[in-house]
Amino acid sequence: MRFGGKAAIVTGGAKGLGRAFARALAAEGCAVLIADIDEVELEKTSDEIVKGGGRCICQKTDVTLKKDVTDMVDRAVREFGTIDILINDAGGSMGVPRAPVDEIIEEDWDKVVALNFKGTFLCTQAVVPYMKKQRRGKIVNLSSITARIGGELTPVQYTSSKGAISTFTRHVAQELGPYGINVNAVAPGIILSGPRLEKMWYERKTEEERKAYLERIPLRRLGEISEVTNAVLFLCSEESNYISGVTLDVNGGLFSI
Amino acid sequence: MDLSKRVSLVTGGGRGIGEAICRVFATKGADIIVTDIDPDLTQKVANEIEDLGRRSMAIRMDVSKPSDIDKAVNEALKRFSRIDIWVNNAGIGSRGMLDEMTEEQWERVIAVNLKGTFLGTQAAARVMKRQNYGRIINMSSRVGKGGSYGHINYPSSKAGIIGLTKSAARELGKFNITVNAIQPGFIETELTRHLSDDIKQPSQIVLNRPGTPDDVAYAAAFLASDEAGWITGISLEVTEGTGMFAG
Repeated sequence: MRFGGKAAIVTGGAKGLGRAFARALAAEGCAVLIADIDEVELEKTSDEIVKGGGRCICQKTDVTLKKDVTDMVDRAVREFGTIDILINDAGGSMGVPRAPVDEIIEEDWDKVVALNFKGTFLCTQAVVPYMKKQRRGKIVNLSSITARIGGELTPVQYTSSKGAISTFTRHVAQELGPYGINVNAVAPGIILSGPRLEKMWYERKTEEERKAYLERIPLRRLGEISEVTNAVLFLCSEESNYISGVTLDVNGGLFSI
Repeated sequence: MDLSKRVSLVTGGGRGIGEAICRVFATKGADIIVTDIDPDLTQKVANEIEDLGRRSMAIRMDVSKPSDIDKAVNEALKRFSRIDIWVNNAGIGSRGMLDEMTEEQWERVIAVNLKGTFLGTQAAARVMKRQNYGRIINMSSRVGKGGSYGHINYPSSKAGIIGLTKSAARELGKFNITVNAIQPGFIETELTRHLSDDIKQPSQIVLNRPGTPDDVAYAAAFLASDEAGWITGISLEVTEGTGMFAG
């Protein structure tokens, strides 16, 4: 198994993509700590992974709070003895409306940027001392196609924070390379990974708009959760040891640089 | 990363990165058509693939010659009936400063690296459209975006490959064919080993280690697998994060 004997932290691991990453890692032998603010879903996902024969623990964590993040990492180290992999998946636009830039409320800006960008920073910062000590580690951050092309459905503070994550990834990759730590990002296109996204896709776009959108995607379809998961797991694996600093676009060809 | 039941053609498969791609793909279950301009090398690699328990054939092919490519495709289809994965890896370099580079140096590098990739992609597309399935992987280079010193023909050809890749991805997506490029950084092979240290290790870059052909082959295997089914048009850097490699 690709991840036998390894240990991972997946933030935002209770639902959607994060849950899929945690499940897939566990299925390939990785011990996983899933962190999320949603305690109910967190327990459910953790139970499900354990029932399936995987090793999983969960910890309620708000990634914007340094104390929570420290506790999360301490717990993982206590339980697993090591952290080989960090997937910074916690993120989202928090239900903040997509407002014109001149009408954005400062508070709405701050909270979305904190969740996506500061959260990625805090979690990275907290695991790096352990990864430096063992001279190996894999960090995968979640960027987004909106970081590449702007968001048609998402607010600018979300889009911008995802762009910041790609730059953070490049910078930290160079800094941590000498310690054998790989830092990469995955930028998914539209994936219907949860009810909110399904709602956006089906309710905010007419059938014609959806059809036109799919026509713009060279592969002519939306992606599957599993397809983002495959890319994330590749970047967590030994086979990508010479890949670092990249933002891997998984978007059916809609956009790439 | 499973490539079992897949048939893959690799250009420049006789040595270096191409040889690693043939071997890594075979260990993941693919049958391999090894093509190279050097018939002895292709046969040697094909024998190695068969020793790994996969089917293989060796075909001498100059990627800059359409007739060679047509012949290779016909032979490959006769034996395997399909080509699922096509790796345009063949490439050459020929160094020289801008004002001293000869027209022949320019044309030869463009003919093998860029036109060869065009001809290979075109041939692959013709087969893959009929199959409604395909994976095309083109070997660009980090210098295709970053440029290079004293080597203007090579990065120009590698930049061309990125545009070619993205354009082909747009045309072929609806046939369930993905087209992606890889941009290796400094990879140690027989061809690069003799280069002087100032070319290998520009002072502004600290490489922890040079890449290996296998590092590139693993990236190619990922892009060639079903796992990468929604990835197309990208150029994936395999550079250990240096990103600005200037060789």
